[in-house]
Amino acid sequence: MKDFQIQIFVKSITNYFDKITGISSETGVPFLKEREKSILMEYTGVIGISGKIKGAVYFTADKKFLSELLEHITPGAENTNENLADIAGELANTISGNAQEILGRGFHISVPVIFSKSNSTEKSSLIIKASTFVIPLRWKTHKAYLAVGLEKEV
Amino acid sequence: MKIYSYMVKNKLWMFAAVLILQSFFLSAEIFITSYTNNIDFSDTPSALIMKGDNQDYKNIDFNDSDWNVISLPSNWGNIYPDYNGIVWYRIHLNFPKQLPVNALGISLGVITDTDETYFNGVLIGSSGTIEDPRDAAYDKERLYEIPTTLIIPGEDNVLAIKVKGLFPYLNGPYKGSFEIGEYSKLQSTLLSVDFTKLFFVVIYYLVAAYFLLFFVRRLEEKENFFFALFSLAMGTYFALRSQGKYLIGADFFTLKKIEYLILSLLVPLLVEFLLRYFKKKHTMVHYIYFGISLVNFSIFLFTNSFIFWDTYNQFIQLPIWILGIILSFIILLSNFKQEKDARLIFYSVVILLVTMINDILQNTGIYQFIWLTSYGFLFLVIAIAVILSSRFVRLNKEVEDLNINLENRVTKRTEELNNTVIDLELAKSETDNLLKNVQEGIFILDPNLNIGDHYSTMLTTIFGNNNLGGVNLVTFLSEFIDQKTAEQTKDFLEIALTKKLAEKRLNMLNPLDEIKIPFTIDDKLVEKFVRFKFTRIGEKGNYSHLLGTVEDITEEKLLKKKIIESEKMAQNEMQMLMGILHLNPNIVKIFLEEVEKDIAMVEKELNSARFTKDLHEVLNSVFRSVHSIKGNASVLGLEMFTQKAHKFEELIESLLKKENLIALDLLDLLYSIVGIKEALNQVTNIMGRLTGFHKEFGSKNKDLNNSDFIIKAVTELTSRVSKRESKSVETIFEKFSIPEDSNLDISIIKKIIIQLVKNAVTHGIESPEERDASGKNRKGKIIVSSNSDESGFKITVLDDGKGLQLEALRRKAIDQGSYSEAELNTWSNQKLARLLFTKGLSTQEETTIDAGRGMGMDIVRHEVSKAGGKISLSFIPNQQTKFTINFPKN
Amino acid sequence: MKVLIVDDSLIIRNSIKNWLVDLDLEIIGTASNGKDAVKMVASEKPHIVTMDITMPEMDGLTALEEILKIAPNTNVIIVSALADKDTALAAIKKGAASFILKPFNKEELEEVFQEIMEDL
Repeated sequence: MKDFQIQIFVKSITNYFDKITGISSETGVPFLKEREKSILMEYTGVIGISGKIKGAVYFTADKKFLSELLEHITPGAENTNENLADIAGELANTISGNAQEILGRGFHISVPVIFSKSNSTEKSSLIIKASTFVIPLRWKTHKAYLAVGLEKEV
Repeated sequence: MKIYSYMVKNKLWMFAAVLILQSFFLSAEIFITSYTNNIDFSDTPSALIMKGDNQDYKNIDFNDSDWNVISLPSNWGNIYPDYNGIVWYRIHLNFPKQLPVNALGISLGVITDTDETYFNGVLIGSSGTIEDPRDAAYDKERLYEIPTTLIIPGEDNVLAIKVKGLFPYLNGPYKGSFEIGEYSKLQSTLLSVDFTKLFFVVIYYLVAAYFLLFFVRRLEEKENFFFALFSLAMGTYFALRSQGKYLIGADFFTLKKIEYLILSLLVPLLVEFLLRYFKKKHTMVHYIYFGISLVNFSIFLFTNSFIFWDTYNQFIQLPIWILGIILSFIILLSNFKQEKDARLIFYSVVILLVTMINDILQNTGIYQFIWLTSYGFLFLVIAIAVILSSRFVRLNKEVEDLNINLENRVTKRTEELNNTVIDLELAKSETDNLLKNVQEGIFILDPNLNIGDHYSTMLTTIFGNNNLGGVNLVTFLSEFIDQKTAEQTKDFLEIALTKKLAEKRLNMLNPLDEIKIPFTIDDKLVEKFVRFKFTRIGEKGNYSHLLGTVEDITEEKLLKKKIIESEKMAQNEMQMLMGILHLNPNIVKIFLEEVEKDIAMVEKELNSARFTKDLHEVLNSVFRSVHSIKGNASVLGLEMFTQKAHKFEELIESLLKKENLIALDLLDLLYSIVGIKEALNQVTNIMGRLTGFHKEFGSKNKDLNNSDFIIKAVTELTSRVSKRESKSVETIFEKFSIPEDSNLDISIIKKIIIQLVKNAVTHGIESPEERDASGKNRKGKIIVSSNSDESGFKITVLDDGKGLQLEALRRKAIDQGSYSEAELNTWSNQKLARLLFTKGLSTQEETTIDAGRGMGMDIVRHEVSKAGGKISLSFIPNQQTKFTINFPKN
Repeated sequence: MKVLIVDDSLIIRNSIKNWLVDLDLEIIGTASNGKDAVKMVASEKPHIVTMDITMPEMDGLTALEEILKIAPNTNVIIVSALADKDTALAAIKKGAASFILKPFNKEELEEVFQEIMEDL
């Protein structure tokens, strides 16, 4: 994936925030994920990419982030696990949809998988061999990460 | 049927049998006719004859002494020529006293024409009507019963016969037996004679029916029809010649007419039959003959006189018959040699002729014998019948044989066909199997470049389309190839079909050597590479079809790519290896460690940046580390690292220059980091593989972590950089050593010295020409020395170059816009000199790899301060520049 | 069989001449540009012509057209660069009998000629 694509990617997420919430989000300095460290927060949505390049994109955020977002989208909604997972899912879906558009033919985008930190079993599957680029996001002081881990282009 | 076939096979025996049969019947006739009865009248009674009519002639006591005597049977024409009026006969009879119990009868034979017979004056019978010329009876056998009451036994009895004549030349009781006997016995005698005739009739009719059936079955064989007619006519004729016709009670005249009509048809029918049987053409002669026969027939049809008919028959019909017979002979003789049948019929006809001649002669009265014509005809008919039947049987047999043969052939053929079908099916299933399982896509193209209907399954798999039949290849491929390639393909295929180019040469022009197509495997979209190959089918220069194969060359291509990559990598590795080999592995190890540290630094920098606003600071910090990597790499001559680091630096610079820089822009840095990390891995790998060769590798030899290392690094750097700068420079180490117990970071020292030396070579030392011009030694000299005492550790880097270019510095500062000219004018030299340490400042015009960014000195300052030291510089314009770094002890 | 060699390089012209010695051919002449080539074809009517595709004053393809116009039965062998398969294709389409890609050696040249001679 060319870096410009990742940027468009990221921008589409931030646009989403801007549109849905009216409050703009911020991107921080991208960094390489340290192999041993996990950046996963309370909720994570993963979408797999296969085709020319294989890998995954994941979006991870903490409870506060998601509940605020939830509040914005459906005011008065309860902060249940399901609802928060839903929100995470919604974001992951957005990524997924944009991904297909951005990457075009030649790529297959999987259905997003949502899990919360408690589901530690899923975490293991996220050990991506390739280097993972992490883009920090901030919305209303709440932090989230968008991570892209892709194998090299063949 | 078997017996019959056997019989007809032996035709001669058939004929013999027929002859014997005929003679049997002939003799039977003779024998029967001479059958005697109880009453013995051994002598033929003589009769008295009188011309004219008088009813008194019938009386017993009429005086007939002046009557003429005549023996019977006889023709009264001998006595009364040309007279066909009435004639009376009187016969005196004596009967024995003892009369037989049964009724008596008298047989008078055949009388021409009509008669009234009286016994002792009483009419006992008559035949025909004397007064009626039509009601004739001239071929009827007379047999009358004599009532016993009329007989006077022992005395003279008189039989009086009144006869009315017909023919001028033949009249009276002229034929047959004249006798008295038991009525019933005489009757049976007559009947038995008739019997033979009826037998003939039956035979003829049977034959006729038989051959009519033949004809019906084989309509094309018209000879059967004519023969049937012939036989029918014969049969009817004999029926009419029998006494049985009188029993029907039909009109004598009509029957007689029919008799003559039939007679007139006989020979023509025979001739026609022969013509047809022997497949002779109807010539003019034949038509004339048939014409004559027709006339003949008409004459009988339209005339009504017995006399005329009889005369005509004898004198005209008979010659016509002979004419017909001659024609028949001709027909038969023309086939005589070739056909047995012809010969047989010929002989039969000869026999017939003989019989006819016999009868003719009898008619003329020359002699008396049996009437043979009827037998002649019978013989002929049977002979022909046999021939025809045998032919029929033979044909039947042939047909049967043919049928059996045909059946056999059909069975055999069906078997063959079945086998062929099985073979074809096998072949087809083989082909289908082939097409299904072959690993390439195979198809046929017609001259219009359309794909044929039968192609291998792999083709479907490759293109994910199973409706390829009839599709134009170029149109189909347009989805995967660009316009130009499509046109080239079209041209190529046309050339393939029409030109006489050699196969090898043609294949060189193949534009479809490699095409990329999207491919779906297990729901995943991948791209594959396929190769099309075409083989021509048909005659050179005029090929009818093209055989196309599609081969998946993705693996091949991947392999090639991998090979190229691995070759490149190997090359790189080789290069690196070469680059490393001459190096002390410990040096390399240190280098790697340093790079690792540097890159980790970079990562850390980015990792901790998060949402900071001071992006430039981040970038600068990253730059420093990257620059350091570059420096180290170039020292060791590791091109790969140097290049990567250089590119990294350029990237950072472009970001620094960017307007409205945002955090996300720094994403690009990550790629460079990854790149360097990969290079790091590569070298580490190589080093790992070299461990066997370098035993010392494992030990951390502290000795090497000292001045030697630095000296070596700097020396190499000097020679390389000076070469690049096209300068002649040497670096000398004077009293240079790093103290053992020093807690100084050797890598930092190294970094500093390297930077300073680099700077000296680039900025300090002039080009050889310049030096020459200014009277200096062409070779520039840099002296690095160190001094260690209680106060600390001191490093000096002195070059005999042009010193600090304050003016240039000042200009640069003005250019950069960092300070105004006026301001700068107030600055002391020292201050100006410090500008050197300002980042972004460089007096070098272009950015070459080794200097000129103005970053170098900044780094030096940074490193020095990091290590807790101080840097100062002094210079003599155009003479020297001296950097001094002090590291206080603590 | 008569052969005309057309190439703007003297070295190549001579090389081709030398490499064809083992074949039963009569080299009736050489030309260094398209125009001369056409002239020589008109006067000598060679059976085979080798023609470099990139030449001054009339490029190979045009010369090919001209040659085939005046002598349609001439077998023209196009000599083109390795990367220039497209031109070779176009030439064959235009009526060239065969082609050979530079750089080539004696064996390759003989092969092309033999292919053509087989059909004559």
